[in-house]
Amino acid sequence: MNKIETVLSNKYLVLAARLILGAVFIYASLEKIQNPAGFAQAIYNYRMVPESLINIMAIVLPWLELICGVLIIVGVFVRGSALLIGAMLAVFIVALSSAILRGLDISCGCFTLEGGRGIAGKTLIEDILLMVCVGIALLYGGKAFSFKKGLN
Amino acid sequence: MMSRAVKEAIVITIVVVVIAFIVNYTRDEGISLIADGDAFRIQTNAEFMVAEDARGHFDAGTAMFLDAREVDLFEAGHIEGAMNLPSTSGEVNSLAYLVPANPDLICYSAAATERQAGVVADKLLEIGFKKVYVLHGGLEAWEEEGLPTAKGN
Repeated sequence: MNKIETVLSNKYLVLAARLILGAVFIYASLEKIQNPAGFAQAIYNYRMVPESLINIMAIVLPWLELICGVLIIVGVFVRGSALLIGAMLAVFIVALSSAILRGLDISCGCFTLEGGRGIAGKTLIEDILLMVCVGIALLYGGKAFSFKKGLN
Repeated sequence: MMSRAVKEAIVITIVVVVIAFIVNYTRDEGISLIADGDAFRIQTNAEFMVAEDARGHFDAGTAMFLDAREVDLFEAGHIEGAMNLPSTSGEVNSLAYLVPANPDLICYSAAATERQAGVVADKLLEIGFKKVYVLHGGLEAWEEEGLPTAKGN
């Protein structure tokens, strides 16, 4: 095991990565779950998703955020939830970048739906940092502080 | 190891989809599975006004600002001097007499729900007001210009 790997697989670092991801995704899900119609509008504003899929995405995505956030914190299906969180982050990064490149003047829809902050490079950087946490949780998350009986 | 992560991810996804659809089906706030595309678009006969131009009217006192959002959002923060005229209240017609006829009327909501401003603007046009505008980019655009807002009612 080389030095970098030793640091990255430190159980407290892995736990910290999991707690950060869990907290951010649970927080992000709450207002979207409360207001699916508002979230659907926020998705529409990105002009990226076909209209027929917008509502299904608005119904499912917040629950995926919530449940993955809970699982990654309590330590059940850590790798599976890390993978899903990574996939969601990848989608958010692509959507944000594309919106910035197209100069869309829309609300981010990241944490709050109404009167929230606009899209900015800062959001993108946050997402990329979260992606690093995903990498750590995915590679080393199935061990310490988690229930080991996952799916084999 | 990765195949285990993928398997877990599939299980989580299936469970989440089931939960999400059941909850959506049973609650009042639930939405239809297929979106009505028209519901997302801002459909208004009013013209758009950018925040910079709206600022000119604000400084000169030649416009009245109308906030089309719900009361709680209005009270949490709105354009200084604005009047609350929620698009959903069904009271636009009954409240409209309060709106002075002379100045320009600039309707706004949040950027993500700009449609609400369009609804109010159209009702005002229907009633017979001529100079009705929708603030482009909503309250966020106003705040980005660093223009004054107020709280409360």
